[in-house]
Amino acid sequence: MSRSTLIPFGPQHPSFLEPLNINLRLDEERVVGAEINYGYNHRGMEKALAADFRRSIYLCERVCGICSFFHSTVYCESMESMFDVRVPDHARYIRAILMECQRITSHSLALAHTAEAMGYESLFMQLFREREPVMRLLNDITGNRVHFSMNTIGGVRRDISPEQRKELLSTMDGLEQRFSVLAGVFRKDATVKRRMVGKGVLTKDNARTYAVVGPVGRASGIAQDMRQNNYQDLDFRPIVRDEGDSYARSMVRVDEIFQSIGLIRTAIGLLKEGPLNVPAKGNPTGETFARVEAPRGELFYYIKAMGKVELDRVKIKTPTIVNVAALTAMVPGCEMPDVPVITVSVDPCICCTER
Amino acid sequence: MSMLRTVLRNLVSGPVTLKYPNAPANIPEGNRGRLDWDMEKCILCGLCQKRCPTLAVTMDKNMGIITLQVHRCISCGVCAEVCPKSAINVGREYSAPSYTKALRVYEKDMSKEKEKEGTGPSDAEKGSETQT
Repeated sequence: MSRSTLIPFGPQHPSFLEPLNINLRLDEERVVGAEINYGYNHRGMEKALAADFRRSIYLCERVCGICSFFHSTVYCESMESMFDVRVPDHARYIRAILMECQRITSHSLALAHTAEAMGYESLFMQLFREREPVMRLLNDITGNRVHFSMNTIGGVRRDISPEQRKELLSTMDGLEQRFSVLAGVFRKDATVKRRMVGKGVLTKDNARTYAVVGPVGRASGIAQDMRQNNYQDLDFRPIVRDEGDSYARSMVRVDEIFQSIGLIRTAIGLLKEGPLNVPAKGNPTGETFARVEAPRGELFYYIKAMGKVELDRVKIKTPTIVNVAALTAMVPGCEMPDVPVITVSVDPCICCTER
Repeated sequence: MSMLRTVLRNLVSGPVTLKYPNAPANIPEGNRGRLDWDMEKCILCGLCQKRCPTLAVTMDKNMGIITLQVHRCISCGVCAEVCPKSAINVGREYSAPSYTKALRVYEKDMSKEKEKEGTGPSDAEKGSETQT
């Protein structure tokens, strides 16, 4: 008869960037059960977001530092549907370009973090090196490095100048070339494969049960991506794999970086001169929601307004809340040292989730 | 093999880190940084105070004083966008690091204003004061 041991994993753990607690039940070295606890990072931002609908455009970016532009875009999109204004095409493409740039930075951070959890420090640093030119370019285009303050209700606040478009294209060319070398490490390296292939498998049935979204869902064979609706004129097809293991989740991200580079090129070609934003006057009334595909999956904002400057309710549903819950189905059967890699391959963002 | 190339490149290249603020920072062209009010142009309408997302700007209309809490400012540039007289200049430089919660104060010469408009602020300015 074997005895099981309870090991608390986190909230402070070297492989986690943010506080998350997983109580692992172990039978010798094998994991037989897991229980997930949230709530170490709650900041009460949903309440703060309801204070003033114009000021909230800049506050909602602060929900998350890695997908800040997605938060402000989905907030502005939901307010736009409440004000019943149509965003000019030019502004829509600028939003798409910036979203894809931020997806590149977010995915390269996730891949780098996965490499670090495996102990592959040099790959981690090289991925961060490749991420830097994109961050710098975003600073140049938008004015800020992380929290862009680029969106406004009805469009965007700055244009991408012709020189910046050229620089964007040349940066993407360089990035594609250098990143394909690093993608080759993920594709071929024996160490990477040994740590990830067949580890933390989430079957398609389990993926449906846990309603996972984003790269985690697409790695388990669920072809669901909000960009199918939002990028209808950019010829978008989601990247789907069937294995459902840690390796598949990382490879979906690797392929999505190249896909994002392609989408940026298409969107720059579609940029035409035009108005950047349309004014939205008065105070909002009614209730509405919007969804975009953030790097980690579907991001959802629900807003209810009563015709005042203050909003009645802002509800955020982030992708991580469902993706991390699916860890309870992924980790049983694997060994204790694999748990950090599996957790990081899900790419949890706790500050989004607990906001 | 690609890793070996990286190692060799790193051996000959210097450090990337800059000794900012002792050495000049390599700031991108389009960066939004330090805010400065041109008090000659400013009409003390109070829009910058009203629209600031972080409540970093406070204005005393009677004394003609604008106070910016430097560490609250997020460099979003909304104040410069809404300013009717384009009196706010958004520079490229980052805010300087400091040990205290820095305040930056801009003062308007109110004696000239009084000579121009009789006594006290005009009616239009009083109206916007009640809104904020």
